This record gives sequence, structure tokens and C-alpha cells, in this order.
Amino acid sequence: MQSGDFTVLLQRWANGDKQALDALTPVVYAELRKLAASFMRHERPGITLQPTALIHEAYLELATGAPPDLQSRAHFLAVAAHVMRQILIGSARKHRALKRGSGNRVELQDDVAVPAQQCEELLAVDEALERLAERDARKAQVIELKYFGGLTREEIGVALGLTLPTVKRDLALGEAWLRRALGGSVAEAQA
Amino acid sequence: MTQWTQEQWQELEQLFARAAALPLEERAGFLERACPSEELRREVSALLEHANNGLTAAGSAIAAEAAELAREADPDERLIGVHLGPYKVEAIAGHGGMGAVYRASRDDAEFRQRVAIKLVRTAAATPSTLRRFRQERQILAQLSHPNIARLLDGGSTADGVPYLVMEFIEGEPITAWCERHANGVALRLRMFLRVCEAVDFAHRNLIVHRDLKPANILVTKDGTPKLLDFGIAKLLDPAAEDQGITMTSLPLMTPDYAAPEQVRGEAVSAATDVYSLGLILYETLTGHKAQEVTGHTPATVARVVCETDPPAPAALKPQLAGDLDNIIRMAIRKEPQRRYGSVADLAGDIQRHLEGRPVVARRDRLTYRVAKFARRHRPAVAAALAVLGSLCCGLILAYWLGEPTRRPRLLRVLQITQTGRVEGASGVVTDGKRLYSTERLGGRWTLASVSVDGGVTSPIPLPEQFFQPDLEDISPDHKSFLMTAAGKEEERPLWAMSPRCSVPYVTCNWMPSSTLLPAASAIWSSP
Repeated sequence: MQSGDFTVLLQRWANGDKQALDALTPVVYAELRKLAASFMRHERPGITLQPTALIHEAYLELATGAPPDLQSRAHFLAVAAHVMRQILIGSARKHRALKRGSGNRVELQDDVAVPAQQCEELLAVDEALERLAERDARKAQVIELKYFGGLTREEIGVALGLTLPTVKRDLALGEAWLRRALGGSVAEAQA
Repeated sequence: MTQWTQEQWQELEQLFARAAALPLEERAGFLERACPSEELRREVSALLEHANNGLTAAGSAIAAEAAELAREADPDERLIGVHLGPYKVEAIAGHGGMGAVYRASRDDAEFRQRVAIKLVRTAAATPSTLRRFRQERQILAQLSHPNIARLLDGGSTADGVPYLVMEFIEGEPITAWCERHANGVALRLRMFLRVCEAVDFAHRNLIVHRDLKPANILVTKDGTPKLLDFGIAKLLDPAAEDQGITMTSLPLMTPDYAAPEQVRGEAVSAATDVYSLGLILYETLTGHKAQEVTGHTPATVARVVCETDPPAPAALKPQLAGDLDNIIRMAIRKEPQRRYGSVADLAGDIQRHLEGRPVVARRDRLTYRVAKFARRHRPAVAAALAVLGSLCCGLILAYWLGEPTRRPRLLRVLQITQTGRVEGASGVVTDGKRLYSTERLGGRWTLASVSVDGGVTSPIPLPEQFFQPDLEDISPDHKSFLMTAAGKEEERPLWAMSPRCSVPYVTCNWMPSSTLLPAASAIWSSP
């Protein structure tokens, strides 16, 4: 895909074209996986991979030659956050299945580094976000951009065309709603 | 949680925002006054209890999963999206012996070309191996045939890993294609013949495939067979030329389609491809793999490839009995020299079978099978022979003494050659494996040899000045021929010649008028 096409697709997505997202997803997906792999090759002790860092790097890789305007960058980050959520949820589902299926296959225990509790936590967040989206899609999206994409409130505003106070209000209610929905979760209660 | 209408939700949102802006102690009073219903008031209060705190646990769960994802990520994926020369890597198309094979495309203003890129991660990329790699690449790039995927280009990645750019072929392996599209033996044979034609073309250009397998023979949507990776196995194996092939080169081939000489680390030749083609023909016609290596230790591979004979094709598919059974079994004989001499010979036999003409392939003779059995089970056979021998000795002696010698009787007539050319006008000599004679080929006489089982004759070229050669004898060690050829005037010199170097040297002059015939044994024993 040429970077020009890429910018056009981002534009179309920003204007509400759902098909543009379908076209963008595999490209962003591949880029994020590639960056995750390359991160591991240069891994240094004590540094944890942040999804946010990946998403920003993916933008630098994919948007070469695109006009460096704030809006298309924010649009890209929003798409990347969405894709990142899909990747991480898919990965968590796989890990949960591995753990559940590993009843008598002890050797798998060592392979799975993510504690079971964090897997469950992540899947619970995803399910709660889905429920929030049914009630108020915009709030769910704002949460997605902040947590899966690491976007700042300003970036979220640019990406979704919202004023900063609106973003703040959406985040406040969305977070409260999610915390309440996740109330039963042990991890969240400790936080 | 109650199902809220859109209006109620908007109301809730506003109440929440306004209450959240107030100091904690004023919130309860505000909600008492502002909320239209008790239900809404309870809901907003509950949400406020969870407000002003981020989703920290969710955040750390996300980071943990991302770290895990990176840990598991396939290192091959890092090339996706990268530009290699004019090509942009798009996706992983598959995994080969040396690493990933990528699908990539070249985007020019004029056209878009899709290619396959194969990384070559050999152990040591020394300047000399890289130079040889480039030379081989040049040779392969010149191999142009409609049924062979072209090698287009090559280069090195930023990390210095060499790569090959090849024509991208979309298709299914020949075995799967036959299952789905070619009902009936004849259709499958015709497809196989097209494959043979391409392999033979490469052989005539002195390129051996070395890794023929169904996955390397794809049939495209329009039914065209395309051979992938021609000669790549050699290109990828620096040991092949420099130190001779060693057992370390094992992983480079696919044991299920490897020939015994490859497993043993012996010289690879066109006969190696004949063997692999035989296995593929076996599989396409019977639906079963002829050779299936389950372990990966050299010993397991060697046992399966070098010693295990697959079930006869006719035992799996009775309609293959006869010619096809013989053809396949001749192609997959364990000893390279006992297979078809070339892929063209194999194809010729299949063609003859399709046309209802007699084929060259024959079952192993009984004597061969007995000898082979004896070699395999040497101690047991020796013991059995000893017992049998002592038992029979007396009987045989009695028989010999009692009966007069019987006259020889003709048991069987076998047509040895099928070329239609004049052969053996002078003498015919044999070393026990092949028959040697003279043959008239294109207006000139040459030497020719043919297996004692019959088959295709292969000419042995003679030097230009060698007129009217006659074959007189073969040395007891089977290394030289004794020949006469026309010389100056009446002279007819006697020559000795090795079939390998085909450079004869004169041993003495022999005048036809002379009654003196040189004693061959004297000549043979001299160095």
C-alpha cells in the first residue's frame, strides 16, 4: 500500500467510512506485529513494551511521505489503538484457552508468562467496553483510545472531533462506569 | 443495571458531570435536589463512587499482554513492510528450509509485479560463499522455461542476509491438483510428463533440482505446472561444492523425497531428480507417499530412504500392475546407476506406455533380487548356504556323475535396444552390467553402451580421426576396451581406450595381412 492510499483511507475512515477501517486494519496489524517482534530483538532488561510506544512507532513507519498534520496522525493513532485492542484481546483469548486446555499438559505452564488473572482482567475489560459501547459508543471509543492506544486527551479530541472538555467528561463517566462494571474483579478492587 | 432510554442516559450524563464538579460533601445534597427519580439518583451516586480514578489494573493487564505478544512474535514478521531493492515485502507466504518465503511486489509507474522473496540464512556468509552464491544465481537466472518459475533477482538485506527474488506462483501442489482435477491415470500421467519435460530441460542445461517434491511443483489455475526452486538447494548449500556434501546438509532437503545418495552424502546427479520424480509419480498414482520419514536423526532417515522398499504400486492400486508398476519401481531404485539414465528416458517410457508400445522398464531380475537379499542378510544367508551346501553336495555329485552334460537351451529372448540404429556391427563385449558395441549415429560410427537389461543406448563419443572402429575386447578389470580402427593406407592400429576418458592410445600397428594377432592379455597387463 502506498502511503498516499494510506492517508486517503485514514481520511475516509475519519469521515465515517467503515470499509476504510477494514482496509487499514491488516496493514496496521502487520506493522504492529512486526514492531513487537523487532522490539523483542532489541530488548533491554528492565524495559517493558508499551503498546503506546508501538503505535507511535507504527505511525512513523507507515505514514512516511504523508502530510505531517496533526489530524491524520490522530486518525492513524485511533485506528492503531483499535487494531491493538483486537490483537491483545485475541492474544489473551489464546492464552486463556491454553491455560484451560492444559489440564494434564504441564509443560505449557512455563510457556505462558502472563498471569492468568491479568488475562481474565483484560478480557473482562473488553466485555465491559462492549457493553458500554451498546449504551454509548463514543465513550467506549474514548476509553479504547486512551487505554489501548495511549492517546492523550488532546489527541483523542483531534481524532474524534471533540472539544477537550467533552473528552474529559466522556472519560470521567466512561471510567467510572467501567470501574463499576468491573467491580467484582479482585485486581480492580486493589487498585 | 436498569436499561436507560437515550434521554435518561443523557440526563444521567449531565447530572454526573455537574455532581463530579462539586466538592465531595455537596454532591449528595445536589443529587437529592436535582434527580427526577430515586432510581437515577442511586445510579449517579454509584457511578460517582467509582469516579476520579483511572483504570490502573486494566492498564497493567494491557501492558502485560502486549509484552507477552512481543515475546511470542515471529522474528520473520519483522521484514513485512520493508523494502528490499525495488520490492516491498507484503506478507509471509510460507516457510522454507532456510527461513521464511515472502510475498512481495514491485510497484512501478508502468506495472505491478508480484514476486516471491526467499531469505538465505546460511551459517557462514564469507566473501567466497557469497561470490559463489552470486555466480550460481546468474546461472539459474538464465534458466528460462514456461514451466519453471524464473529466478528474477537477488540481493542482500540491510543486515547482510542474501535473498532471492522469484516469480510468484499461485497454485496447488501437483498431488493435491491430481486429486481434485485429474481423474484417471492417463490425465495424471500427461501432467507428470509436462513436469518431466521441464526437469529434462534444466538437466540439459546442467542444472539438477535436488529438492523435487509436490510442494515445489505447483499447478496454476489454468492447469499449467510450474516448478519452483530449481537449483536453489545447491545454491543454499555452500558445502555442496567446497567440501563435498556432508551429513550436515541433511536439513536442506526434504527427507520424504530425498534419494539414497543424498542421504549418504554421495554425489548428486540427474538420477537424483529421477528418483524424486519416481516418488512423486508413485504418490500421484497411488495416493500414498512412497517414503515417509518420521524421525529426524540421520540413522532414521538413512534407514527409511536407503533400505526400506515401499510397497509395490500395484499392491496399492491393482490397475497399475505391469508397465506403470515397473516404470515407477525402476525410477525409484536405490542405486542411481540402476534407475533410468535420464528424466527423458523416464518420460519416454511413460509416453510409450500411453501409446501402448512396449516399455523399457523391467522388474528386477531374480538373480539381482537374490543377490540383494543375500547382501542384506549376509550372515543368515551364509549359514543357510553352508547347511544347504553340505546337504546338496552329495546329491549334486551324484547327479553330475550320473547324467551326461545337457545341451544349452534358449530360455528367453530379450530385445536389448530400441533406437532403431545399426548396432554391434563388429563385436559386442560386456562387463557384466552393460553391453558395449559400435553404433552408427548420424553417419558416423561411435561406441555405444546399453544396460544388459535393455533400454536406451548411450553413445560414447570417439575422436574425429577414429574411422571404422571395431570393438575387439574388454579388459578383465573392465576399465579399457581393445579396439581397431582404420589408419593410414592398409594400417589398422590396435587401440586401447578407457570408456571414461575416451582418449584412445595406440598400442601397436596391426596389418590385416599379418597373421600375427597381438595377444590381448599381454597388452592388458602392461600399465
